[in-house]
Amino acid sequence: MIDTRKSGFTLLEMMISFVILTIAITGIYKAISSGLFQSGQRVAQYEATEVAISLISEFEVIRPAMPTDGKIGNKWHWTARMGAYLPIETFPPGIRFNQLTVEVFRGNEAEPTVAMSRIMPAEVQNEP
Amino acid sequence: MNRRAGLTFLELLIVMMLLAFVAVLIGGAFDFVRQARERATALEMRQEQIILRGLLRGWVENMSPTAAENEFSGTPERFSFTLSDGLKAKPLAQVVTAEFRLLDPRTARLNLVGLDERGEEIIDESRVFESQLETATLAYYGIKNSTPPRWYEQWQEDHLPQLIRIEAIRGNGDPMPPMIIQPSVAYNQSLISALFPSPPT
Repeated sequence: MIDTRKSGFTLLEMMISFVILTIAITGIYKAISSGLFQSGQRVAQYEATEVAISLISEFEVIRPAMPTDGKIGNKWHWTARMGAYLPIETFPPGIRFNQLTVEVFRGNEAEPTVAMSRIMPAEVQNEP
Repeated sequence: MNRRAGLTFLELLIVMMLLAFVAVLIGGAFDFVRQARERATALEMRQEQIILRGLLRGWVENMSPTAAENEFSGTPERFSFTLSDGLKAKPLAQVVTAEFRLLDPRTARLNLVGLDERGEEIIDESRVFESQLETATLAYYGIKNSTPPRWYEQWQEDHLPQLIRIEAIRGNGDPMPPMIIQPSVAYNQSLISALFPSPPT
């Protein structure tokens, strides 16, 4: 009598191969998802940086008329603050610089996506 | 004994269960691949736009402040200017003009035209800056006729605006990151750096 049970895969072998297949496919899913997520994060980071650069440009020119916080649609909100640039003692007397810091947040996030600063001569500050 | 030759009912059930599981896995994989492809295409477009935004900002910030050299003009639909000498896209071109244009207003394009010393066109490039826009506006901030500075829709003066603003709402309702650029700021900074090569000590 021929033992037909030995001529193909056993159920156990099939189950093991399915488990391996599942693990492999899950790994591929995760790799692709993670790549796309990271690319998306980089684009979002760049866009927030673009918002910050634009705000700094606007502040440099029309600061007295600018608010210190705002929203851009529902996608970003931002805050801006101006302070003395330290360490002042390293500059010669009469020369002072201020530091403008703009923070851009995505949606309603509490942590800023981007924080950028620009140092500018104090006389440009033109505080009201 | 013939009963050993085939699968038992329990084995058949397990095999069918596994097959169903694999079918679901493969079906999900197809859907996942489709979504991943769409997302990757969108990201690729966005990355190209990022490069174009960087180029435009660099060109505008390095524009010569002299009206005869920059030939800047701005309307609600477009603005154009001549690139400063250091930024010519190809060395053979004598004059390179960049134009940002809003079309109808669902698309924004960045065009580049270069002329050689005989006035013949040797560069003619056009790229989509943003597409599928709901609305888009251009504005220019500066002083006209000795009035206090404010935002204008047009700019045809013999001096540059202090700021150029590009704002748009994308097709999905999200705002495009607003682009506010100071014309000539980098050009002027390079002159200051040349005059004062070292910081105060």
